[in-house]
This record gives sequence, structure tokens and C-alpha cells, in this order.
Amino acid sequence: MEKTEENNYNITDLMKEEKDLPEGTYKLGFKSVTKKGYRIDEWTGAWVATALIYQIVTGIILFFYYSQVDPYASTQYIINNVPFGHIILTSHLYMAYTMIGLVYFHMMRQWFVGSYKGKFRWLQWILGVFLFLLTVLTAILGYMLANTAIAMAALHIGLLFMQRSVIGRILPGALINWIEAIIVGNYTTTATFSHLLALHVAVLSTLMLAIFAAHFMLFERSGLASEKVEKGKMIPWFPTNLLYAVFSAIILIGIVLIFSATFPQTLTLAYGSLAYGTFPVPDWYITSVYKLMDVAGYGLSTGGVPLIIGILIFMLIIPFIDRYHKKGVLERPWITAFGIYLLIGISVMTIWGYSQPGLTQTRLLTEYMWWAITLVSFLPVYAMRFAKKDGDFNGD
Amino acid sequence: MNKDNNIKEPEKRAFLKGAGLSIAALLVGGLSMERYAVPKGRSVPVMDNFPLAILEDPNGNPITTSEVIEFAGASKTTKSSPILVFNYPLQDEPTFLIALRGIKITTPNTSPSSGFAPVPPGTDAPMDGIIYDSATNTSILAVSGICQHLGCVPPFLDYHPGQSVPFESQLIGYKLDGVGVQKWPDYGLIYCKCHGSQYNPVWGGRNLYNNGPAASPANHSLPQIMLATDSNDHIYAYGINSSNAVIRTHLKFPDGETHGAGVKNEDLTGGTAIRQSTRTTPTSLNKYSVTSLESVSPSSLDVNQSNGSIILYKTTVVSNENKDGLNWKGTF
Repeated sequence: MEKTEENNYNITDLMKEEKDLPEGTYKLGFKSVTKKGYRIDEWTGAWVATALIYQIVTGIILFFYYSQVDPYASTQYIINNVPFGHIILTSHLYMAYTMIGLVYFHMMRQWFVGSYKGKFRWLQWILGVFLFLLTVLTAILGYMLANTAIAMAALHIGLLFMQRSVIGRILPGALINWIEAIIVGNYTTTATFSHLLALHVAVLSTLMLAIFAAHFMLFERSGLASEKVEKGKMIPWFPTNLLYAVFSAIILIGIVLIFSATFPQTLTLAYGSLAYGTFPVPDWYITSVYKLMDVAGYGLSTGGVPLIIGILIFMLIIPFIDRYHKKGVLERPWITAFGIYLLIGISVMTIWGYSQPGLTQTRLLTEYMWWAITLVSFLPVYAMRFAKKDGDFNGD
Repeated sequence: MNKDNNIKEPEKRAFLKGAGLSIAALLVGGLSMERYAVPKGRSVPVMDNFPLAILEDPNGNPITTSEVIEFAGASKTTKSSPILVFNYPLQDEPTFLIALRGIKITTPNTSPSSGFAPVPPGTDAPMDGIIYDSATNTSILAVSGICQHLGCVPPFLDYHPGQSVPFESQLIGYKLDGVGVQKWPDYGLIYCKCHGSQYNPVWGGRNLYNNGPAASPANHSLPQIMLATDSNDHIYAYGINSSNAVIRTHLKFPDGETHGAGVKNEDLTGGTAIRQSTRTTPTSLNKYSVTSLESVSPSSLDVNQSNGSIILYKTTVVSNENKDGLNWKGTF
């Protein structure tokens, strides 16, 4: 198994020219790669970028017609009166789902491959975690913009989470007041939607685009983690790489458009409507967080919120605590096992949150579940590692 | 790597120190900027006291107690009753209007600090702030529609009468013919489908039932909105019974969990006032005090005033359905 490259923590090196280029030349982006670089799993980031660009384009179109003064009615106007409005709105929603799914996929792929190692990839990983957070936050804000009943419930829950949890209890009151004022202004309906809209279309999305630019340039600087530059084997960036990127983008957008045309989005109950019967459940990317608040079984302050903050901090520091010197899944057993743990945990929480949203769990069930997931994720990895070593030994 | 780096170590250290200090200073400075960055209207009460508001239907006509009882009165045998909601004390703050037939809701005889034990209806006087119709033995009660756990509102938070056990509550063991804590109460519960908070309307202002879904933050009842009638049988809301619970979505954290008189200032910050009515303020109102029905002058109710005269507000009672010729369907 190949050894990992060394990390470069001196970020002033980023300002220097690259050594394999003539003195005084700077090169930004668009490296050529070998044939191996066209393997489909090396392109997970490109799909996320495609989704981001698609969201910007459709988002601008929606922004022309959306009005924060009358959010629900203007959303209905987009669906019923704007040419292609329904498919643009639906595909904006479905591409957001796709983008979050692809972000998870992209992130877990790098996690298992260990491609946060070497050169400036540690910084790229950290920026990636922030991009993940920004993606989910922007999605949640977008989902609130239609002023549906579930959206306003989510807004209330979000604000109260901040106040009730460790965030509100530890941070100074002035800071919480400030954060709340950023989200809802002085809490009148108009101020709330103006703020949500500004955060969704300008603040968070611009931040995301800026961090994405840095993330992408770091990638071009460090190159693919899984291949070495080999003279004579590099395929020129133009036209192969460009065409590959464009074709994969078209395929992704095509799939999302087909789904949007087949299953157009239905706008759920407006805020302020009264009805008996079944209610919309929060979007799937929130249900895991939502369920964690129940399933942790220890309340918000000591359970769910610190747990999520802990997982995020763990993800931020993973390039520094991964001390394994080799790449490969079984060569980094506890990192791999923890990745599986997160994958199973998030999936279970998502499905559970979606199927039984208003159900409180007992602490015993919670403990059983988490220990079971721990066992299922750690035992096979170490067992396979043992089996592989055994096999390697016998093979020699 | 560092040998390629032509910045000298001490200089680099000084730079890092300087950068660190600057960031720290910015953070501290940023905190003190908070009062400039936060809108001026924030944390300033929208009005000084709770508004006196007349309850109207979506067509602008005042509603009467007999209409509410006819339209939405729920008894032990009711399978489904219309949900009635109006905004009070501010816009976007839904409140339930619930009419319960065959029961007199009485004042709890325990103080708020001593747990939340049920107070069975008895021979006591009707509870402060409800409307009690002795002819039909019916209580009309208004409680906040903002869940005390995490702020879910109708229709997620919803009153389900005695014969209607919502699916979500069946998941946590409630049954129509259950025994003990599993029994769906005779008059049902106000049940929150977000996370399963339960409130028993029969308990009046002390309505938190079965300890709610989560730890301590949920141990609060839905605040009771005070109701009174006038000589025409019209219904008025005139405040919140803050001895039991207060609307928690508006409390500032930390140190915001006050009860009692001081709560008004905190409650009425952030939001939009309900609309003012062009009707004349009634000269006297009938309300239940802890002991009996009494006639009071509105000026004694400590409601919002301007230059010494009471401002009359209006709020619209809406329903999820039209029934009995009453066209109350709408959005709150």
C-alpha cells in the first residue's frame, strides 16, 4: 500500500510559483491528469460543483419572481404563472436534494480513500466541512422561504434550539441576540422574510461560492490524491477534461430535470392554515438532526446539540488526528470504522426521523441502538483487517 | 519546508502574535457593537400592556359565546371538532379557543412551583379568565397555540377531543380504552405532532400533561389567555394568566425565564401588533375572577392604553372548516 504524502502547513507556499514551471510563471487551475483521473469516483466534486452552478442559475430566475412581502402567494405565482416556473422551482428543490446527497457522497469518498492527506489537502478538507455546513444551512433557509406551516415550525424550532441549547446558554446574551437579529430582524413577518431571503440568496450563497473557489484552487494546486504526475502520460485539459466535465454536468442536470418533470413539487400547507390529517415532515436532510434531539435521550443541552457540535469538530480535525502512514481502507481501521459508524448513524436517524417524527425514544432503546451501530461498524473492519493480514502473511 | 521560507522566525512570530491579538480585539469589539448592529425595534415592547381585543369572525362580525359553543363545543363523545384559532397578543401568535361541554374548569389549588398535579373539576368557582356558561355547563377556554417545547404552532399543535386519538400519540402508547397513563383522557388532549408534547385543556391554565417529550424546558403549560364577555355576549381577550406560564418564544436567554408581572415587557417584544378596531370600547365587561362572575370596568384590567384611554384591538377567529352556516374558514 502506498505511503501518504506529507502535509504542507506553510500556507505562504501557496503564493509561490510551482517548481515544475519556468521561473516567474504562475498557473491557476486546470491541471491535466492521467487516464486514471477520469475514473468516475474522482469526479464526485465536479458533480457538486455542477449542482452549485445549476442552483445559482435557477435561483436567479426564481429571485426575479419571488417576493418576500408575500412569500406564499409569490411561490404559488411562480408555480402557476411563470413560464416553466413549476419545473424551475421543482428542479431547484431537487437539485438541492441532489447537491446535499452528493456532498455527503463526496465527503465520505474522501474520508474512506483518505485523500485529505498530503500537501494542502488538509486545508481543502477543512474548507470542505464549512462548505457542507453552508450547503445544509442554505438549503434550510431556502425551505423556509415559501412560508409554509412546516417552514415556520422549522424557524421557531431553529431559534429555540439556539436559545435552549448550549449555544444559547454559554454564548453571551448579546451575541445570541445579534445572531437572532441577523436571522429574523425584529421578528415582524416582513423583516423575517427579508432577512431569510438576503441570507439565502446573498450572504450564505456568496460565502459558499467564495469558499468553493478556494477549495477548487487548492485542489488544482495539490492535484489528485490518488495519482502521481507522470511525464508523457498526462491527457491535456483541453478538450478532454472540459468535454468530460460538460457531459457529466449535462447528464446530472438531465436526470434532475426528468425527475422534476415526472414528480413536480406540490406546495404544502401555508403558514396559518388549519387542517386535520397528515402533515408534511421536515426535509430528509434535517430529519437526522431532528431525530438526534430525541434519540440522544439526554435533552437538548446535554444530548443532541453538543453531540452534533462534537461530530463537526471531529470532522474538522480529522486530517490532524489521522496518524496512519498508509492510505487504503483497511490500513486506517478506526477512521474507516468511524466513517461507517457515521454513515449508518446518519441513515438510521434520517429514516427514523422521517417515519416517526413525533415519537420520543426511551434512553434504553437509544443506548441499544448506538452500541449496536458501534459494533456493526467497528467489528467487521477490524475482522477484515485481521483476515487480510493473515492472507498477506500466508501468501508470502 | 521552512528552509524555503525566507521570512525570519522572530518576525513570523511577531506577525502571528499581532494577527492573533487583532482577531481577539475584533471579537471583543464586535460584541460591544451589538447594540448598533441589532435593529432598534428589537427588544423594545411593541406595546406596554396586553391589548384588549374583540374576537371577530373572518367577515368582521363579533363572535358570541353561544356561536362558539354551537360551532365548536366538544364533549366526551366528540370525535372531531373544528379548530378555532386567533392571534393574541401579537400577530403570528396563534391562540386556541376551546369550548368544552359538560364541564366546569376550576382554579388549580396548587401553586405553580409545586409540580403539575391535575386538579379534577369540582364544585369550586370557574377558573379566572375562562367563560363559563352555567345554563349548558360549558367552559370556553383560550390557551396559547405555541408549543412550550420548541414553538410548533397549529395545525402541528392541535386539540384532539375525547374520541379522537391521533396516530402520533398512539405511537407513544395512548389508547381510547387504555388504562391509567395510557388512557386518552375523556376530553382528549392538545397534542403536538412535532415532538409529542401533551396538554390537557380540562386542567385550565395548568395544562401540561404527562411531563411532555423532553427534559425541563417542556415542563410548562400552554399560557392561558384571559377572556371576558360584554352585555352583547361578545368575547374579548385581555391578557395572559402569567401565574401559570408565559409565552416562551419571546423570552430572552439567558435570564429570561421570569414569571409574574414583569413578564409583559418581555412577552411583547419583537413582532407586529394586532390591528386596532374601530368599534367603541365597552363600558363594562363580565369576567370570572377566582370566586365568581363579576362586572368590571375595562380600565381596571391593566390593558394597553394611549393617553389614558383604552385602545380596542381586534383579532380574527378562524376555523379549519365551515359548519352550521358559520363561515369561519381562513388563515390566522
